[in-house]
Amino acid sequence: MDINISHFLFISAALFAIGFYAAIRRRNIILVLIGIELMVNAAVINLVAFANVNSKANAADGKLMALFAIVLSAAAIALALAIVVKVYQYFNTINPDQIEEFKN
Amino acid sequence: MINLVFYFFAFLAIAAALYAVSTKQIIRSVFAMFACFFAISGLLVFAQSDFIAIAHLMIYVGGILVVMVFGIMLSQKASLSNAVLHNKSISLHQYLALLACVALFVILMYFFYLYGPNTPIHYVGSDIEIIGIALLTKYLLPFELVSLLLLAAFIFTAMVTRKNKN
Repeated sequence: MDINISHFLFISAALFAIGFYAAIRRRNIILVLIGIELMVNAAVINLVAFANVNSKANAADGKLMALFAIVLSAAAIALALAIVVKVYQYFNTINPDQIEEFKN
Repeated sequence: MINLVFYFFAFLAIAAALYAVSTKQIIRSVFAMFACFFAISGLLVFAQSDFIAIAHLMIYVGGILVVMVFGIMLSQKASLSNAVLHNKSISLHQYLALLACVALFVILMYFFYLYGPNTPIHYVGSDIEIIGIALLTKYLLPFELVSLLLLAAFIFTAMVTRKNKN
């Protein structure tokens, strides 16, 4: 059985659902970030898989979109982890259920 | 034979992601993400995009996960082995999250089954040439903008995390 695009679609759907579960279960901010990274990775797999559908004229479009998505998620995760460290210094916890007020 | 490698990477990605979101120690979940990102990078090679796969491996495994380990080290009170997640007994919230996740997966698979293409993927050669040409002609402006944004994000990160004098 040859590998076709539906295989990649199945894997990316599973990864997206797992990342969604981690993001909405909210036990820990870092686990929420891991869930968001899993969802970005599912999107990247989809973009790269669909880049194989069209002709060779626009074969680079999906791949470059995936590359930009990877770079943007790297920037986002760096910012988010900096904010996590500051939140920990302020609240002494990074459990989202225990962080309730933002004004002092 | 080559399909077996593909199925191995697919299984490794999904199993490592499941372990990462279900384990109780957060450092284990980050190390499971190492395996998951490595497997995803292998899957990208099977999708005929080797340059993206190498970039993914360098950025995620070499960059983001190391930053995440630093984030855990700076934000846990006890030592790393005791950094257990706040996991109460199974609550309604957890069941609802699981239900939403399964529903999302079913809906996604339904739409992929209805509209997804079944194009087989054949080897067409390395993609470095088309990516390089497109990056310096058609996508020159987004390329420069994204590099500026990355620089701005890292300057902002350094500003946020530095210690205040007063």
